[in-house]
Formats: sequence, structure tokens, C-alpha cells
Amino acid sequence: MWINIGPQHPSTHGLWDLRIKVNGEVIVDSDPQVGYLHRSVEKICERKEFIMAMPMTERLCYVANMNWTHLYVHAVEKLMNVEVPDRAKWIRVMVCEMNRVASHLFWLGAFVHDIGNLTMFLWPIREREYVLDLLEYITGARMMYNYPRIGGQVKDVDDKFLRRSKVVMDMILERTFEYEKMLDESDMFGVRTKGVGVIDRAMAKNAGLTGPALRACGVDFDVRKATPYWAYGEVDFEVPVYDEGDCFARYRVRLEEIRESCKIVKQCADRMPEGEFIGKAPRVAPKTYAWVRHEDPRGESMCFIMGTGGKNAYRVKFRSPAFVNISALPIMLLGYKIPDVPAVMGSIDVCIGEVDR
Amino acid sequence: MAPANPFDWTYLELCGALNDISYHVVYAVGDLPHNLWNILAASLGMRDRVLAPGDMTFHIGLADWLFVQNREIMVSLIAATLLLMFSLINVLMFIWVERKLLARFMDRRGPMVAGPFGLLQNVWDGMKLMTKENAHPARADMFAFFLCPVILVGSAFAAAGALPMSPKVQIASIDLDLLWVLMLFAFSPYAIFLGGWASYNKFSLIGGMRSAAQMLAGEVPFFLSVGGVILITGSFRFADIVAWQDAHGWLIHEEVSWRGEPGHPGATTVTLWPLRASGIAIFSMNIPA
Repeated sequence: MWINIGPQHPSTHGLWDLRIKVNGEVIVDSDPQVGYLHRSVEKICERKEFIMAMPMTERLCYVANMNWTHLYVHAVEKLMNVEVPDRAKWIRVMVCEMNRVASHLFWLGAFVHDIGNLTMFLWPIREREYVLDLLEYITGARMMYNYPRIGGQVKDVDDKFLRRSKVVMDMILERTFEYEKMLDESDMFGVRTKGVGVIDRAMAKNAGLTGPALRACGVDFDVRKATPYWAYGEVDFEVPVYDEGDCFARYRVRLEEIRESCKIVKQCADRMPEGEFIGKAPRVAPKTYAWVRHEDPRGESMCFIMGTGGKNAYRVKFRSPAFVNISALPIMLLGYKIPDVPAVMGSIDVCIGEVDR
Repeated sequence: MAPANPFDWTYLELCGALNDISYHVVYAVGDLPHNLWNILAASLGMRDRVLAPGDMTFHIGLADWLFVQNREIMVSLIAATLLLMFSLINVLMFIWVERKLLARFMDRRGPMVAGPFGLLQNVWDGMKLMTKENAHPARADMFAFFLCPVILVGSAFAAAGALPMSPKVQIASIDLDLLWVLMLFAFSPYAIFLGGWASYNKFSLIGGMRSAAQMLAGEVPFFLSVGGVILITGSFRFADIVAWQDAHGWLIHEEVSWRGEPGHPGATTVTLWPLRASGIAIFSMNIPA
């Protein structure tokens, strides 16, 4: 029997549809259906000037939009051969990591809400507000920041922001231990997540899984470590890796990534170099191509961009980690039961904006 | 003469006070329809004067039909109204307490700031509920689909009717009070399953089945722990159980440490299970269907 979980099921977190084939309560097959939210972002990016296309790239993922805009800007800079000032690089690392903290906190709330823990739904959202306040302080927006520019940032950060972000990150670091107590010591949470949605190492690699979902399978791969960009080579952080490959391991990886990101933000605040925050950048890109890859909160994101020789791009292509992770869902769900579906769906952190683009 | 502080009252004094209050309430309410009809009839010009209380001289028309010929129906209606008011106010207060607690746990603001003591949160939620669209699946079996909430709510109110409000006031009293209440509780899995089945939807069918299975799973420990009460007091009647408590002290104490053995989970189960049955996730985790 085929059952549609979505497009309006509350645990889909967006407009997508997971069709599952069940035998009794056991899942024997599943088929993710995406495309309800297709807005042809890539095509729109081709038709606009580089600077005008940036707000479109934010709409790829409303939870981690800082990372997506920076990815696009980074690709354009590589295409134009623009050198970014040091301070801008450190600011970028800082705001991207803050955005990662906010994104993971939001994920944590949504994930535990899916499996029924309403208290833990509200706690991370409460802490996320502080991060949003900080980002609002420098960008003026809570959701769609539009913060980077080609060659740097639109605005400099000030000392108050640096001081304040250290305080907030310390606070969040402390609160993650509260979350840990609330979830790790909860038998119900263990029953719902441990041994659920297991995907083994080889299969995860074959399916193209990236990000926390891959690191939960025992693969030590993080783009920030593998090919460091901006100031990631200079900051000190660890990549949490777990071997179990189940929902609980994915939760653990993300929780520890919050801590690592907090540490990165604190280092950036301490070691923020003086200097320009934006450099000179041309308006016109040469007729070549460039691509970059970043570590998005959801996994490895890539942007391929090709210039026309004019003010806009000939081709823009984004690689969405969530899209690839969704396509690994049938492997993760095989043999589990219907109540495990929200846990597995939640554990890969879907953001439909970037899946459908 | 009872002490001024109600907390110092003995159980019997409390019961006596409650009895007095409910007697007066029932007396007044029993008189109310007569007076109301009297006033209405007079204002409509059917009678030339408003009759004095106790002056039951009319034998014609609707009033006669209502209060003389069909007295039992009217008394039932009044009893039902009383019951509804009693249980709805109880429900409101219970929801209020629950939401206050949850607001403390979860850092929610509404129940803390809406109105005095957060009392208006329920009113606001009720207004929201009233303005909701009455949506139903396109190919649902309408009768069975809308029968589901009727059974759920009806069985809950019927169970409240068996609760003694004072030694003399009990809306429905039979010899097997407790069994009757348990039977009414046992309706709700059927109602949920019926609703899921009637909606002509595979998803709802599975969801209904899962909910029903969960409720049934909770009923086993509940029934077993209620069995403890019956064994201790030797009766199914609420009045007898209350009388037993009057003589021997609170039953909850006995259930917590039965025969000198502490940690008997009966009282906990009895307290928590109705919460679970009404859809509250008591252990902060719930299995979504």
C-alpha cells in the first residue's frame, strides 16, 4: 500500500512528498517527490546582474541563507579573480558559523518536535533568537540578510558586535549541555532515534550523502577541513564523527557542531584583523567558468558559474546537499516502520527551498 | 459550626458544606424554570399577573406540558445543563493549570501574560477554535466521521455524571459506578478508530489505528491500578469509596504504600493515565501516527 507523507504532513517541513510503500507497518519502498517549490532560481540568477542575483540565492534556504549568499559571492569572486581583504574573510567565517549555529538550533527544535518533544522544540528556538538579534545588529534583517558583496561585506562589524557575540556564544555553549541532558538521558528519545534510519558507510558514500548525515556514518569529511576557504585554515576546530549512522548519531553530530561553531565564532571575535572590509571588484566577469564548494549546515554545497563576458552569468548551477540527502531516504527508511518516518525525515535536515531551487 | 478556614475543616464538615450548597443550588434551579416561564407568560399577556413562588396553579399550554406532564424530561435537561457547566468549568481550570505548568517548562509566554493569572489564554484559544473552518475529507462517511467527536466528548461528560458532587448529589448513580466509568473510557479508542476509518483515507486509517492501539496499551495498567482501589474498598460505588476514605484516610496514600510496601505505582498510574488518554504527552514524548 502506498501512503503519501506530505506534501502537507507537518513533519515534511516544506512542500515535498514522501511516498512510502508499506507492508502492514513495515516500509518496503519509498519515493521522495520534490518540485512543489520550484522557482527557477538558477535561471533568474542568469538573467540578472551578479549583484542583483544575490537576493535570489538567499531564498534558496531561509534557515541558512547567509551560507548560500556567501557561496554565490565566493563563486563570482573566483570567476572575476577578486581578492578579498583579510578582515572580510574573517567576518565571513564568523557570520557563516553564526548562521550555522542558528540553523542547527532550528533543526534541533524541528527534529525533536517531529518525534513529540515539545519542550525541546521551544528551547533551541529561544537561543536562536539571540543569534538572530546579533545578525540583525550587523545586517538589519532577521531572515534575509543580504550581507556579503562581491569583494567583501556591505557593512563592517564593530566592537560591540564582537563582544556581544562572544557572550552569546558562551551562553549557547552552556545551553547545549542542557539539551544534552534533556535528550541523551531521555529513554523515549533513545527509543525513537537509536538504531533508526541506519545507513552504512559505503552506502552513504555511494548515495552522495554529505554533511552531518555523512559524518554520522563514520566518514571524516568536512569541506572546511578538506579544502579550507577564507580563514577556515587558521581557526581551530574539530569535526565530530560518529560511527552508528542512525538518527541519534546525526543528532549528536549536529549538537557537537553547534559547539564547534560557537568556538569558531569566539576565535573570530578574538582574532578579527584590522583593515578594509571590502575591496575593489569589477562589474563584468570574463567568459570563463568557476566553481566553489562550501560546507553548508546541511552538507556540501557547490556553485558553478560561467561568465558571458558581460554583467551577468551565462550559467549558474547550485548543488544542494539537502537534495542529495533526500534521495538517500529510501535507503535509510527500508525496513523501518511508519512512526520512524518523521524521525528519519527530520534527521537529514531538509530545506525545501534549496531542494527545489 | 465549621472553622473559618476551610482548610481546617474535617472531611465530614466539608461534605456537609458542599451538600448544603448543592442543595440550595438544586432547589433554586429547580424553581427557576417555573419562575422563568411564569414571567415569560405574564409578559406575553397569557396571564394577567406574575404568580407568586409556590403558587403553581397553571395547568394549560406549554408550561403545563413542560413541567407537569414531562417533568422528568425537564429535570433531566436541567441536570444535564448542571453537569455540562460543572465539567466544562473543571475542564477550563484543568487546562489553565496544565498550560501554566507547560509555560513554566517551555518558556512560553501566553499563559503567563494573557489576562489576570493567564486566565484569558483559554478564552482566546476558545475563540480561535470557534473560528476554525469545519474541514472534512472529501469522500468521508459524514455520519461516522462526525460521530467520532460526539462519542469522545459525550463519553467524557457521561463519565463526569457518575462523579459524586456531594454525599447526596450525584447526577447518575448505579451500583457499578466505577465499572460504568471504565466502560465509558473504553469508548474513546473506538471513536478514534471510527473517525480514522470513516475519513476514507489510508493515512487517517493507519493514524486512527495507531492512536487506538496506544490508548488500549495505556488502559491495561490503568484498569489494573483501578483494580487495587476496588480490592481495598470492596465496592464499585464512588459513594462507598469516598466513605472508605472518610473512615480510613486518603486512598492515594494507601495506593502509594500498600501493605507497608512503598512505591506501589497505582496512584501514579491512575493520576497520569487520564492525561494520556486526553492526548497530553505526559512523558514529553508522543508517538505521532
